[in-house]
Amino acid sequence: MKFLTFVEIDLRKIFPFLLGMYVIAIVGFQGIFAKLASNINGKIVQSAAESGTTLDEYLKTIDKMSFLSIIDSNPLPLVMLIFVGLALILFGFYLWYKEWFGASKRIYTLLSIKGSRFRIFTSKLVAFLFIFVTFYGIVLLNLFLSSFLVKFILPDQIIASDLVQNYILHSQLLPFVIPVSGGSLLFNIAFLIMMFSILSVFVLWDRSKRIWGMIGGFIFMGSTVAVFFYLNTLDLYTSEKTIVNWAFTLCVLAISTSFSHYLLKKKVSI
Amino acid sequence: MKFTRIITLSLISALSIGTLIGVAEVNKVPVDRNFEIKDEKGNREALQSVAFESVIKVDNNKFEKVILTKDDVEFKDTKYDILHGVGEKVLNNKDMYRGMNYASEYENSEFTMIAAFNTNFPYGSNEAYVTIAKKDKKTNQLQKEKITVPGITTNMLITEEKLFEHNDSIYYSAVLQSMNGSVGPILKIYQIQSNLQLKDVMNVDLSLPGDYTDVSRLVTDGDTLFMILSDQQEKKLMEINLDTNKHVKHDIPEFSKDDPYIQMFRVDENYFYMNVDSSMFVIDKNTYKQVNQKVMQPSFISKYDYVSPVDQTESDETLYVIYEGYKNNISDMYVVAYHAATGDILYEGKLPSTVNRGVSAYKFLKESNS
Repeated sequence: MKFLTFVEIDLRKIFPFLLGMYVIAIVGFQGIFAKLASNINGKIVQSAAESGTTLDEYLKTIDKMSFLSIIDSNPLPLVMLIFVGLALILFGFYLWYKEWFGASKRIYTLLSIKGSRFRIFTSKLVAFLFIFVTFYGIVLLNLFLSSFLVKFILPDQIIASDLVQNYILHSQLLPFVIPVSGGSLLFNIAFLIMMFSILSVFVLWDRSKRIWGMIGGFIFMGSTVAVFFYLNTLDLYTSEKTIVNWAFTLCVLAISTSFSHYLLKKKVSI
Repeated sequence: MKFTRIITLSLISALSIGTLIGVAEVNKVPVDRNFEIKDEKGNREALQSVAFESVIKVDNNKFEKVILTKDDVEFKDTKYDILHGVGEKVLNNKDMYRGMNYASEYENSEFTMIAAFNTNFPYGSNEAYVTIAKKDKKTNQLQKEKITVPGITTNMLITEEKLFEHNDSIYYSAVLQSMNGSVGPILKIYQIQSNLQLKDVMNVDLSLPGDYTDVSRLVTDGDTLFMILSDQQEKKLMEINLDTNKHVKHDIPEFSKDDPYIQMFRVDENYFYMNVDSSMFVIDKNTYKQVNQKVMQPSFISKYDYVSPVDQTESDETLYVIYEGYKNNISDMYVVAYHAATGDILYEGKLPSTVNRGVSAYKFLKESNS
């Protein structure tokens, strides 16, 4: 079997679920955004009436609205996207684990196929990355859709220009949902691969050693999480934090990938 | 089968490439560099002796300092850390400021000294210590110590801290409030020894008869330490003479019945300045009477849901205040110049918006910051 076929089988399985999640992400985000924007519109109209001038006159006296003043001051739409992201992580884990748990027929078939067993690992990894890169795409798509939607809700003359680009550059909340620069995109991908490898160590160790493997897997997962949290409690400035996070990610990535490779090749039996 | 394959692959590529382009495209929108103060009232010449500073983000991890004067603007490359909200001064001395970004500070030509009480006390940690750091300006040698502060129990909060110099030695002072109200606010003053250890010098009870006493920030003027004490009934000006260790509570007008909270307190050669309930008051240094005949309040106050003072400075009988007003998810910043003696508004102007470019609010540019 070709590598691409492996990937395709995995993707086809998650496709309906992903589609559902993405529809929720888009409809939910746009719905909450429209509500927030129309609240602001209502307040502006009210203020104009109170100031005793016409709406046009009033609009000239106030600053232009950008996504910063709509989304960052009430981050509900972003919180919703964070929940969708969390659901995707749990779903990814469930998919990986479900197949290996118990006497699934599929995993026997996969393991008995000729060729490198590491293909199973990499094909799942590609599917896992696909989930997140498309999620980032959906978030950006949401922002672009909102930049059109806002024109129907707020008066044109108070909407700032380059809404999406400026929001990506200046928002303090968006970086919690998606990477906002080339560098952080690279880091996020490395971090996702690391998370996947840690999960794989757990799944594969569990498969090859049962109870002891499961305990070992838990300890491994727990200690990486503990080290990560410890590093983040240090009083580091952003530039230092970037270096420390990269070092942590690359180290854990190397350890867990090679350990997964070893388990898959030598320990996991049919 | 073939059809779903085509759909899947095209969706992957569209969204992945979209992500990459979306993130890379950011760098192509130039930051608007048009900064100009908009006159609202009075003559802009009143801003002759002040300048404003702010920080804008021009690209990922690239920041510039904006120095704004009444008719000119200047940009300088600078460092800024959004995560901690700190600028060049802290980032150039990371070893000294680590873990204490907002410490109280004392600086002279020989050294810089900062001190901050354990920020987790008393909820996250029950160790009553203050971290004191001293950096020599010539040798760059750093002393940083955690010093236990005696006499502080875990039902107390530190509400004010200040480092100041008197007769060639440095003092650390802290205002303590007990959380259950059993003991009123207490001011503790310690002398900092050369090994950074603390020597207890003075304990002053700051409580007024009311239920809760609010203490303003501490200011020094020559050999004297001043602060405003206020509760629901009255306001007092506390004067502590550092030479004789004597302290007196002076009567001052009540100013605002509704709000005991002192938003700002400053002193210069002629007057005390304070801000209560969004209004400025000027107090004579000798008689402790109110000097300004009119209430000093900006005229735009009714246009906003709330208006609060951000920064204040004074020069030649003129008082300058930066205000921030907030309404309908938009916040605007203003500068107002008052004539200290009469309370007249000399000038009111709207500072250029920082939306989509700024990361820090405007402050007055001070010699030591530049």
